[in-house]
Amino acid sequence: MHQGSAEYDVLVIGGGHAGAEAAWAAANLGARTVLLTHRREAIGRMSCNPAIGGIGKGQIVREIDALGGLMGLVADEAGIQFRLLNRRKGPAVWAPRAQADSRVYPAVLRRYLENCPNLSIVEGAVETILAERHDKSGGHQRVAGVVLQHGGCLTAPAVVVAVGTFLRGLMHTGADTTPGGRVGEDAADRLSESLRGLGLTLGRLKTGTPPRVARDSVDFSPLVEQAGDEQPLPFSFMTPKITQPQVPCWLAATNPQAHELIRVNLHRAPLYTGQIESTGPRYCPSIETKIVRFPDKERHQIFLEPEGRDSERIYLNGLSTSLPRDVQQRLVALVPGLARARIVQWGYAIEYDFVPPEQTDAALMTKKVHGLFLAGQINGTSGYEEAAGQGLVAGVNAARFVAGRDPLILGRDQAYIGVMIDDLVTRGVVEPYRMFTSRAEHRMHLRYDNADQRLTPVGRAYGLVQDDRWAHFLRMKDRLVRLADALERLRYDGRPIREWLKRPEEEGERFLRSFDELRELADGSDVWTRALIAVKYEGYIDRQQRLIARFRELEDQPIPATIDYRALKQFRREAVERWSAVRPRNVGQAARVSGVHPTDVAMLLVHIVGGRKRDRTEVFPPE
Amino acid sequence: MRVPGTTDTIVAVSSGWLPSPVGIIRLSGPDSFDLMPSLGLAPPDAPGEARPAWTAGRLALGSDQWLPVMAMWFRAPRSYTGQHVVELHTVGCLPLLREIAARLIEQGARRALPGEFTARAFLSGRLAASQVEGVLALMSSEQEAAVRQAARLARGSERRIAEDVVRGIVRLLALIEAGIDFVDEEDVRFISAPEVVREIDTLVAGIDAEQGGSAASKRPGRPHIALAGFPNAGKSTLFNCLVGYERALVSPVLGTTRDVLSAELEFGGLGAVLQDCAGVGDTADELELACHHAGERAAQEADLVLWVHAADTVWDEREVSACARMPFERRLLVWSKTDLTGGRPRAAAPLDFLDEVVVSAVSGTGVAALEELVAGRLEKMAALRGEALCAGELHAATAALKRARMIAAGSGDVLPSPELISLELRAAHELLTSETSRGLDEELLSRIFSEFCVGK
Repeated sequence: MHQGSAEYDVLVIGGGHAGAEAAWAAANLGARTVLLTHRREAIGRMSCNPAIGGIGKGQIVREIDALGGLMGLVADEAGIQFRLLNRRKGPAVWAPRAQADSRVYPAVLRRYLENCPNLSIVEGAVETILAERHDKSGGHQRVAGVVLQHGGCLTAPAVVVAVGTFLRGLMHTGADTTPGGRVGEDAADRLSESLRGLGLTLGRLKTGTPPRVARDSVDFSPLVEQAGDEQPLPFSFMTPKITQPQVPCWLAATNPQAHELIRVNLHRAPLYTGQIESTGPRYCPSIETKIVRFPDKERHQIFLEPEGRDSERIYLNGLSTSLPRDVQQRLVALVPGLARARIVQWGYAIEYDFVPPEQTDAALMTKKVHGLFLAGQINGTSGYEEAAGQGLVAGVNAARFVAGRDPLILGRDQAYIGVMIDDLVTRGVVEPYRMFTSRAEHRMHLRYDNADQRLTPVGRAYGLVQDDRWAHFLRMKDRLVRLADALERLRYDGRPIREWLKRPEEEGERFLRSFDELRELADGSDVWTRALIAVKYEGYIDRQQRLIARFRELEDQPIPATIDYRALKQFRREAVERWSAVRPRNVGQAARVSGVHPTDVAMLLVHIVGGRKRDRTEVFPPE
Repeated sequence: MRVPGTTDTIVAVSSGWLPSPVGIIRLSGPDSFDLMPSLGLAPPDAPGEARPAWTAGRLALGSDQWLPVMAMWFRAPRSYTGQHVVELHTVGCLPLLREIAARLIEQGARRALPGEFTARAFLSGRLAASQVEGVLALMSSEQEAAVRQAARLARGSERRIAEDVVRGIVRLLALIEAGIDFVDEEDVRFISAPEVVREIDTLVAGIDAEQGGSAASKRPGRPHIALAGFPNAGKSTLFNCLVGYERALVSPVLGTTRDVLSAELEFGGLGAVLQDCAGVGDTADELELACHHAGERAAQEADLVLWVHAADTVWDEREVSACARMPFERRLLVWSKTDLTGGRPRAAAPLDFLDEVVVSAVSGTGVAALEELVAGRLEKMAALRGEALCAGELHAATAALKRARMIAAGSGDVLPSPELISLELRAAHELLTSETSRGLDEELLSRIFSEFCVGK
C-alpha cells in the first residue's frame, strides 16, 4: 500500500449499508481504513423497512456475499423470517428475502467491523472534504482528507462518501419539518457545501417511511397471518442452514373510509402542498400518492412486519406517509386491527441531496476529484442492498486507487451490481433508482443460484475472498461437475437421467431416492437445485451465453481516455454531444448512451481501430 | 436496436438504384456459407480452396418458385471483409431480393448497417489505416441517406404497422415483467396465460396482415428529388415538363404529405420520385413559413434538392437562408424562366450550389441537360441500404412471438415461465426497432407504474 505522508489510506464517511461494505472491503484489501460515523450505535441501522432482499435485491445480496461482503452473513444471523419470492416461476427470477431484527442486524454488522483488522471506527461528523490541485493528474483535483466538525482532521488519498439521506436531510411530517438524516439523527449540512465547493453539482430527491405502532396495541384477530418458508434459504453461500425460528407477518388493508380521510386532508400533505418538490420513487409511493393516482382502488394492502423478534414495534409496510400527525393517528385507527394502535414513530418524508451520477465513472470515482468515491443513496439509488453493492465496489476501488491499480468494474453480464452501476453512470437518474430484474438484459445468467460461479473467482483474484470461502467454492464447483456427469451417465429406463429431468414437471425426487450416487452428491445445500436449473434451462442459458459473447465484443473495446469527440467530423452531432458528456469507457457503454444509433457505434469502432497502429492489424482472427 | 457486432453475419441488398438488370445480395460473417442451404444453395467443396468459387444454381423461393443465380463464394480470409463472404447475383427485382434477404434475416443474419461491409473490411486490415476517413465518410453519408428514407417511410403504412406491433409488445412485456418484479403485490393480478396467448395472437395477426402487402411495402426504395423554391419560381411548370404531361403517373400520396405532389419517373434509366413542393401559401405573410417548411422538408427527406429560382427575380434573404440550410452536396440550382432574361441568369447566385443548370421550361431549353445532370448525380450517390424495416425482421419477430406463445399456452391460467416469455418478447422487440432501445426498461417501468398501484 502506498505510504506517502497521509495517516490513512481510505476514509469512509458514513456507517450505513454502503459505508459498512466499503470499509470492510478496503480494510480486507490491506488499506488502513477509518470508518467515520456520527454515532457508533447507528452503524448498520435500517432507516425504513427492516428487511433485506426481495426481487432484484436478493440477487444483489448474493453477489455481495460471493465477493466476500457482509450483508448476506449479517442477514442470515439477524433474520427473523425468510421467504423465497417467485418460487413458482423460473429460477432466473427467484429472489430471497428476509425480515431482519432491527436491533440484531446493526449489532452483528458492528461486530464484524469492530473485529476487522486495518479498520478503525471513529465517531465524528465530517464537514469538509479536502482536495488539492494536482498538476500530474491533468488539472483534476485529488482528495487529501477530511475535516471534522470539532476541528479534527484526517488525511488520506481516498475518501468514500456513503452518507445516505443525510446530506441536508430534511424530514417532513405535515407542516413540521425537522432537519436530520433519520429520526433522532443530525443531518450533514456542511458536507453538501463542501461537495459543491469541489465542483460537483447536487440534486435533491425524496423518499418516505411509514409509521410504526406498538405491538401490544394491535388486534391481530382480523388479520391474515403470513409465515416464512418451511425451509428457509440462507443468503450467504457460507451459511449451511438457517437455524433460528421464524416469526410471522400479517396482512391488513385500508378501506374507503381511510381513503376519504386522506382525501379531505390532502391540503395538509406536504407532497401536495408544494412543501416538498423533489422527486420520490414511483415504486415506493406514499399512501397519499396511491389515493390520488388510483382513486378507484378501494383497498391498499398493508404488511405488518415486526421490527424484531422481541421488538415492541411493528412496521406498517405500505403506509408510507408524511401527513400530519393527527391525520396519521386517525388513518391508522381506521384500519381493521389497528383501531387502538399506538403510533410510536410517525411516518415522514425525507428530502436529501444527491450527486447526479453522470459525474461519476464506472469505478464509482467522481470524474472531477480523483480519489473521491461515492456510494449508496448519494448516487441516487434507494435500498439497502443497492447501497451495499455500491459500497463494496467503492471500497475495493478506493483501496486499489491508493495502491495504483486498476479498478474493479463489474459488467452487465456479470452481476446486478454491474447493471446498476452502468445504469447510473451512463444514464443518470430522475427518481431514486431501485433494482428490478427487468433492468437486466442478461437476467437468465444473473441468477441467485450462480452468484458464486460468476463472482467468487473475481473476488479471489482481487483479494476479497478468503481461504475458507474459496475452499467452499471449489468444493461446490467440484460437486456440481460430478453431479452433472452422473446425470449424463446414469440411466433410467434406458435414457440418461438428464433427459428425464428436462421435462417440465420432473423435479427428480424419485431419482434421488433410487440412486445412491446422486443422493450422496446432492446431499445438503442446494446442489441438486443448481444441477436441475442447469439442465432445465440449458437451451436458454446457451442462448444467453451467445448474447453475452456479443455483448462482450463491444464491451472489451476500450475507448482511449484522451479521445476528443468534437474533433470527429463525420459523426452525428447528437452522438458527439452525448458521448462528450458521458465519456464512456468502452464501445459497449458508448452504445448504451441515450440518443445513439447503431451506425454511430460502428463508426466509433472504425475510428478507434483506425487510431491504433498504422500497419495492418486484424481485429478478429481468420476463420 | 441490434447492437452491431463484428462477428455476426450481416446481409444487404447491394445494387444501387433499381430497376436494373442484376441484383446482388451480399453476406459477410461466419455463418454466410451455412445460411445458403436455406435458400437451396450448397457451398462448393474444397475447403482448402484458395480462390473464390463461382457456382451457378437456382435460388429456391417457394415450393415451385426459383430464380437463377450465380453465387460467388469467398472463403475467409480471402475476401473483401476478411470473413466468409457470399455474393448472390440474380435478377434485379427488388421485391424478390428483399424476400431473399428476409429469409436470411429470419435465419439469424442481421441487416447490414450503412457502410458496414466497408467497415468490416477496414477492421480486418483489408483497407489501409490511412483510409479510415474515407470509410467514415462513406458510413456517414449512407447513414444520412438511410435516415432520410426512414423519415419518408415514417409516414408510410409499413412503418405504422411495425410501430403498432412494437407498442403491443411493450404493453404485453410490461404486464409480464410486472408479474415478475412485483410479485409481493398479492392483490394485483397482472395477466393470465390465456390473455397472453390472445395478445400474442393479435400481434402475429397484425404482422401477417401487413405481409399480405400494401403497394407501399412492395415499393422500391427510390431516391427522392425535391423541387423547391419560392412560389412562382416555375416549379410546377418544370415539374410537368420533367414528368411529361402524363398526369396519370402523378399520385398525391407516395409516402409523403398531402400538400406535396409526387411522381415516379426515370432519369437515365434510374427510377426516382420527383416531388413538387408547391401548393404552399402565396401570400407574403406565409412566404417565410412556406419557404421554411419547404426547405426543411426537402432537406430532411430528399436525396437531392433542385432549388428553382426564376432568373428574372432578385434573391430574397429568406430564400438564401433557406438554401443555406440544405447540405451543400445535395443542392442543385435550377435557373428557370431564362427565356425572360435572354437565356442566362443576370448575376451569380449569392451562395454555392453543387451544380447549376439553366432552363426555360416554356421553350424546353436546358431540360435535357437537367435530366442528365440529375441522372449523373443519382449514379454517384450511395446505394440505399437503410430501409426502415424489411420482411426479414418481421418474420423473425413473428417466430419469436410464436415461441413465446408456445410457452404460455397449455398450462392453465397461471403464466408459466414468464422470464422465458419475456426473453422472446424482448428478442422480437429488438428486431423491430431500429434505434437504440436501451430505454426499454424505463418504458416498461413507466407503463407498470401508470397502470398499476404497485410498490410499497
